[in-house]
Amino acid sequence: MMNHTPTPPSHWLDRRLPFLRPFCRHMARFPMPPVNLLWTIGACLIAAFDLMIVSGIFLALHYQPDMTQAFESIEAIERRVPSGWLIRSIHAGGVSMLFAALYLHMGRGLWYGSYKAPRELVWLSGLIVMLLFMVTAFAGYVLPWGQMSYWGATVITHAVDAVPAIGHPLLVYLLGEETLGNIALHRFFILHFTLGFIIAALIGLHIICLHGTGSSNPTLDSPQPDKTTRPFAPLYVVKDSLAVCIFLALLAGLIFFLPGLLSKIDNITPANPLKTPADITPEWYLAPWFAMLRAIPSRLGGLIIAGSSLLVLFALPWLDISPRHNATYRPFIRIGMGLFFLAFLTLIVAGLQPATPLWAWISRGALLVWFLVFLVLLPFTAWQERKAAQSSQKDVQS
Amino acid sequence: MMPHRLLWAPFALFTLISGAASPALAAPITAASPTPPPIMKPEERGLLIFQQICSSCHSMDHAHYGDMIALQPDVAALQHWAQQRHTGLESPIASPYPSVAVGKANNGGDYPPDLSHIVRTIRGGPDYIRHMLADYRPAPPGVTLAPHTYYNPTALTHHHKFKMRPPLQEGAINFPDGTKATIPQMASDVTAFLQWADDSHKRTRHFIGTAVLLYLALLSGILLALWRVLKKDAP
Repeated sequence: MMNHTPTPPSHWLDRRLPFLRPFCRHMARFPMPPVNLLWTIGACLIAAFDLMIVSGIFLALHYQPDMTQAFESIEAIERRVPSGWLIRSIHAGGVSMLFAALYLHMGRGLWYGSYKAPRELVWLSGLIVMLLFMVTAFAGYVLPWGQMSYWGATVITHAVDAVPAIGHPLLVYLLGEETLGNIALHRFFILHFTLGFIIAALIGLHIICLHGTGSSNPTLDSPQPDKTTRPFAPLYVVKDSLAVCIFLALLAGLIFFLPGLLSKIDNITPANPLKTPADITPEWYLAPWFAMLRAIPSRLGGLIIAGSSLLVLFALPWLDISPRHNATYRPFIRIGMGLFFLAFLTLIVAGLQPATPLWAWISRGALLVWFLVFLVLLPFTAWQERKAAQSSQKDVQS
Repeated sequence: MMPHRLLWAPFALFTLISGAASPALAAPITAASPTPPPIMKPEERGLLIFQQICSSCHSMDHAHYGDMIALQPDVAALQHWAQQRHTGLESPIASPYPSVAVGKANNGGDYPPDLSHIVRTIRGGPDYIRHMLADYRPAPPGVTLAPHTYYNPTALTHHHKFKMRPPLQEGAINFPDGTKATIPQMASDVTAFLQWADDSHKRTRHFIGTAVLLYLALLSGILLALWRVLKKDAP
């Protein structure tokens, strides 16, 4: 029996790109478990990322990666490039919305155990995308070459100095010269521009990984698991589009009506290596790690702790071996994840505050929660849950 | 089952509206109408004050002479202003002083700051500027002023012994719209101008923002209705 009819000759594209139709069919029929609204944030992230790429390319047309012209070229974009202010505000406001959605997306993954088998690769590729987003955002913030760009970059690049033995030579190698100057600015620009496309490729990989295993099902651990699935189109296309609309409305509110909320006054002053601003604060989305660097008295220790706080996330699929996913039905994990979210928000606030001993101690407390939840509470609870599950299985068998 | 044609409606709407909106976005939106308005906006009066008074000491480095076209549609007048200072429309509004040292020497030791973003960078913002410009007064008894120093209880530097000479005088400017050039009037107009110079797209931004939000609200409404129909409809 012939079960593939030859494609009609009118389908020009089908004959030349034979995978296109099966691919579209796969996307449309992709089976979706009964997920809640938190599963729409991925679509919002794709929208935010697309906006960043498009606005970024237009900004790159007018930006000059040169110490003497960078600040002036930003002012020219704001004042003289037609719609330049609009493109720049989309790019500068978009980054905050992107990170807000990114952290929510990750928080959803943590709460519903989306990092666990068989979705380890989805989680790991997502974490790498997040790390690259952080590097890209940091590099991008240097580009306007305002006071906060310059001093923020100085503080963070000099963290490399803390690496034993090779620290200083490594710093000079990375910056291209002794201090943060023209060479470094040009490198930051190339890094920022290139990483955008690398991230695009990795997001593709992230989605391929997801489509290999399918979305996680939040109802599986509940008393009434719902295993029915529905095709992605049309219901979930419409649901995701609706979420993207609301997300874009929030972005529009931010960039059109509250532009001062996230911009730093120090960054409308050109970089001046001779004058340190009163207080150097990072962007809110990098604040947790800035707070960690400040909370640890030793510079190297701070670097190690900030690095480990991210590395521990990579180990999660193997730290949590419980068969259960959803924190809603895991009492200890529910408390633990709640505490972790609280610690994360606390670290954001702490990173934006002036460096006082009180905030340093609060940051240390939050750090302790971060590591205790992931390295003690989660593995221990998971081990107990697995033991309970195995014994109940034995009971059923016997 | 829903007719499938209907599912495309929101996306067709999106394409249609964004297609219609994009030429409007590509054109410089802030270009003013060709005929000058009968009543001047505060920032337009403020530009006259800036041209005739402030810019004789202060720079506005990040703006070009030509950028003022949004407030002063008469190109010849702008060109005249730029030529007086031996430069063209495409040059930044630079400091009249050849160096910082000369600027300091001419102003009792304080360099007149750049005004590009002064309303955002100065402590107190626009309210401070409006207040300070109209608050020069004779020194109270017991306060002695050094030469080239002026008493201003609002000013932030040198314990009210301010180095900027009183810039505004009653009737210093003849406003074409007949507004009386009192000191508080001029202080408020020039502050409006400095706010415009800091954030010249504010009006356009609010207009586009409102349009975007209305459009997204409409689209969300349609999508929400569609979602509810599909949810009921599906098995």
